[in-house]
Amino acid sequence: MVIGVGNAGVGILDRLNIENPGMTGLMIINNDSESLGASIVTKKITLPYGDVRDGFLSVEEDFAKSIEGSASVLLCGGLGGETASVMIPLLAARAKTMGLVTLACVGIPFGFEGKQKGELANSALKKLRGVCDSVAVIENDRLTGSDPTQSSVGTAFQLSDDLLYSSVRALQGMLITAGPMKITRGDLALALGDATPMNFGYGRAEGGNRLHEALERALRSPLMKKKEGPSVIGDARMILLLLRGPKDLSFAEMQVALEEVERIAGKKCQIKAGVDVSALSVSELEIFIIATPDAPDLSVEEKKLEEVLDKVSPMASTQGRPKKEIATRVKQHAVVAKSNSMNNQTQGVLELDSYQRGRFDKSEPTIVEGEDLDVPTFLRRGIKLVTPSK
Amino acid sequence: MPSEQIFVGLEIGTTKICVIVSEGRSDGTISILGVGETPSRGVRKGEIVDLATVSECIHEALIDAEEKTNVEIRNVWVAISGSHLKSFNNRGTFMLPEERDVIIEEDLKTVETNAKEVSLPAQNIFLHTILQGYHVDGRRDVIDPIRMECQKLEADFHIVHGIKTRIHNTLRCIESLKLGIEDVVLSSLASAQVAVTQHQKDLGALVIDIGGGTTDFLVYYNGSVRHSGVLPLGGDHITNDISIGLRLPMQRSELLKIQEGSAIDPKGADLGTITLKNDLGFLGCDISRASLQIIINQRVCEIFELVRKDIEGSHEGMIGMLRAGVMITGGSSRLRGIATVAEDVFEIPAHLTRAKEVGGATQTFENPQFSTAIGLTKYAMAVSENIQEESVFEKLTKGIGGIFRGRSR
Repeated sequence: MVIGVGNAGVGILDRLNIENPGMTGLMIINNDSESLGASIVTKKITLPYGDVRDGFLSVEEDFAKSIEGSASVLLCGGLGGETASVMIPLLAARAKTMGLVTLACVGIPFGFEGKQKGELANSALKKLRGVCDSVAVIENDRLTGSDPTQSSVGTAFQLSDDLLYSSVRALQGMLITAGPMKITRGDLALALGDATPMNFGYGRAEGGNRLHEALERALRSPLMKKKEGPSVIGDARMILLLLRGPKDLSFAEMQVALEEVERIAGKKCQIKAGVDVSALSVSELEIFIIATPDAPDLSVEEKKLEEVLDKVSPMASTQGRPKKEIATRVKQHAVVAKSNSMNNQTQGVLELDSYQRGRFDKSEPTIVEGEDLDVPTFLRRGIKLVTPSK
Repeated sequence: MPSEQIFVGLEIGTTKICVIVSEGRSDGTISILGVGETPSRGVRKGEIVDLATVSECIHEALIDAEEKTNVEIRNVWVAISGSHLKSFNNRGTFMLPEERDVIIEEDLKTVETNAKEVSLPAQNIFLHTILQGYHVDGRRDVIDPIRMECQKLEADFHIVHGIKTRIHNTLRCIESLKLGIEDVVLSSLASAQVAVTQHQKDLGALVIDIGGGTTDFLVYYNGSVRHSGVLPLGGDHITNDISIGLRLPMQRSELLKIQEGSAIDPKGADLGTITLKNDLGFLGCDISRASLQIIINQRVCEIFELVRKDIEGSHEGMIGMLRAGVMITGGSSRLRGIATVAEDVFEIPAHLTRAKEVGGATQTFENPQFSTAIGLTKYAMAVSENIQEESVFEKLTKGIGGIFRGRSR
């Protein structure tokens, strides 16, 4: 059962219904009767205006009744708003007490939407992590990429809606895969882990080259990008890959998709693939990818740091700066960077790609295990050069 | 077959296009008559990106070669590279029919066809099917099984395949010049013809041809090809790294690489400075020699590490068994200290190598840049007895790219 909460949730479910006519198991909950009335989803629960908690108590039994009998519940909505932020954790807790598999797919508002919204979203997320089996998080701030000045507000919101929609679509797809290859809920829980921001890619295409086009789009999705560096997929610990398409989806296409993902992700990565050929559309192929990054271990980071420092030590000595001082500085920096990411704050990173690629700027990139080999090795490995002593 | 024959090898490289005209002697050696050469434009990372320009360049190189040798060039052997070329090993099996228990020549073909019954990606075609050895009723390493008595014939092959359209584009480029194409040969296989001797192939050797845009490599073990691969990395990347790291124009970086470049890791030592004189549009400056070497060392190390990884991915522990060591050739092998870096990475002896056992214009074969093109003519000589009358397109489409039967030499 997919349940949309709040205005954003209603929007997602409407789209789900429009693009997949005949889909069942949809329900919307909102306090805005106008938006509920306009929606084409048939199952609706109207919240009374006023305090959301009171509203929850009044609809609790209705809700419980309507989810009874389904195996799993997927709650979706945009956190930050009053309705979704308060309702989703409460509904999730209720579903959990009924013994259902409970998932949530939520959007975190843009930084510019205001501090209050951000705080509300974060506290809601914390609660969700406590009750849900897994939580998929779409951070809107990551969508604008490295250069917020370049994206218009309209496109940013559009993109955020699109992604939230397609991730709900993917999760829903993974939950109900009809086969022939299934992604189990266990895989899903493992991949989503304890709700680090989800790295999620979605692409679709049709025509002769549909596989490659869809795969490329999926891999290039904004949420597959790292804050720094090209793609998260290179150092992912686990990848879920779902191909959803018409009945003529060929074995070769499946194979190529797997090979391609394996090539980029490297052999260490665990890849779980699912195929669903029950889609109603005629020729369109959809690809969903969820990548779980390797959780960075601070101790490992420190060790690496020492190695790097050993390499830069000649430079340090020529500039008369003791190695230890640099070490503490770099460490502090690392810790600051880490805590930053924990607060879900993102900082724009200046794209140096074109400069780093030099003459290969316009040529096809050589990507091996997520690294662009056209970028000089010493830059990728972070090795300091020596400045000429005068 | 006439006692002396002319073979023309054409290599479309990222840095240069070269045509080698060789004469095959009846005693099995080749003698180089002349070399035509032009700087290459329109090729990136070993693959053609601008058909018209490349055609022009090939034309220039051909004219150059014709003028120098007084030979009218009609047919050429073409070396092909590019990171789309992939390889794997496979075994073909054939059970002899009940009524016959002696192997005939047909059976060898059947066994090869059986080995190729693997599902390639739809857009790929076979380029080479290189024989590694026959097994007759389980008996290994049979060299010539014809007329042997057995029930089950098996053969191991090293199979090279690549994207059809990319291979065809190279051929189109040449056919547009009204040239005939004898066959298409994997670059590293051509280089290996001159870079290693039969004895070294038996001992086991890794041939690495580092060119401008690609690094081609091939592993010989027990006398046959066990692994091959292409990396889209080469000397151009080194130059690009220097240009970015030291903030120099590309041409200046290239010159610096050739004149002063070394792949040795300075290991923190201060090696002083290099003074670059000012030039038109370029203010002179001082750069640190250690920095230059760090940049080159990092890139070269990485290239070798990727080669090592690629080989170990499919043949674990094989590198340690290559008793003849690493043979490095190609234009970028002239970089100082490259063999030392290779020894560090592969942990077996590394040597620089170039064409041997050829006569003629000696200056040519002493330059490792020409290894592939010279190797092509040697390869041509070795297989020319087996050529069938077919257009090269047909051959590739039918998937009999490797007309090369018998052990690859």
